[in-house]
Amino acid sequence: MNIAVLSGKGGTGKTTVAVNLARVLHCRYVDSDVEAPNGFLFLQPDIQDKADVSVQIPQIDEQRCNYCLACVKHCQFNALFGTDSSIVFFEKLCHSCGLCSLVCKQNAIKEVPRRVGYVEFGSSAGAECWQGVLIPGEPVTGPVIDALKARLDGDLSIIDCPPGSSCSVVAAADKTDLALLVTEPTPFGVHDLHMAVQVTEKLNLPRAIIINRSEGQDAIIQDYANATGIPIIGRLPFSLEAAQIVSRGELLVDKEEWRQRFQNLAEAVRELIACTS
Amino acid sequence: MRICITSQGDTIEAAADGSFGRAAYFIIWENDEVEILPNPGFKSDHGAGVVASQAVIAANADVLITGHLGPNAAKVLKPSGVKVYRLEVPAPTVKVVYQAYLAGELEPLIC
Repeated sequence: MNIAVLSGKGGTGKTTVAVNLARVLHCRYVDSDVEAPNGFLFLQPDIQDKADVSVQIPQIDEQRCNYCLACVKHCQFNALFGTDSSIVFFEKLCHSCGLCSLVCKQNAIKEVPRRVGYVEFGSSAGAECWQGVLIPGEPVTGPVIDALKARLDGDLSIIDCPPGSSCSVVAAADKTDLALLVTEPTPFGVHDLHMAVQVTEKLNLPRAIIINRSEGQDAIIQDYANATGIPIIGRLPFSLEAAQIVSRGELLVDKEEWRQRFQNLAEAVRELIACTS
Repeated sequence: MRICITSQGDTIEAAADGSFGRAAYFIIWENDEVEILPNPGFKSDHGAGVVASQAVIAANADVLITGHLGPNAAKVLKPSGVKVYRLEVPAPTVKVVYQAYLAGELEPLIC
């Protein structure tokens, strides 16, 4: 059972919800926000294993190349440029599809690995903690996210997704079993929540909404939930104390009243799991 | 000499375009002959500068006149021997830019 935590909008509290929920559920936490993973700041796991993530890129043997430019013409990402006497490769535009090496009649293109990130595996308070890290400046997140997801084994896992609704979010949330949508009761919150809802619709995921920073006046989200039929399974209050705890890198569930709130949330999640499986 | 000017439209009366990779058209002058070439980078999802450079080379341009080159386009156009001149934005029509080039009024584009 894999639960994706996403939001559309950044800064709504995805990581806060994901790390605290994983702690009370005693389950695996997987940080798939590989461009800015920060869940480990709170969970402080001991790292036991680490693996590099590489992608395949073309290496062109100019001794064999006859500059027919078939590779240039076929590249859908414009990662290759050629003249009658040179080929230039742009590694950051390459999506590792391998088509250039397939269409090269001269056998001048060999695929070689290029390191783009790494994954780390550790544990905190007896529960597994995983994260993927993309090397700064690298544009393509998918391979690092895929390297994390390839290790999922069916044990209950909370997948902390990237913000937004782009390829990274799709890679992280795809083939999970349940989407928890963390939002805030603001016009921005509901606007971006709708984007996340549209993504999860395409991915065919059961969904539930968690409202963070709720001061009781959250009709803007309530109306949206009523209109779409997506249940709201929890509300976390707008709290200066919570902001202070988070800014110190501590877990909210280490405080009794917050532990209770997250236990209630965990109970609601368990019920959803029972319904979906 | 083939002179290529980035353009927002497909006539010599259209405004020249300050961007290279995302310009809509390349307008190529050879003496009094004019050729209109859609820029494949205009609607490209990825690597507009690269595919636009490829088109300029394929069109056998000797001179390129545009507002700005991105790093990828600069990397391939510099060693290609195409001379690049700068047009000021907001730009006048392609025709006016061409006349300014003929009069020697354009500066080389430093990239």
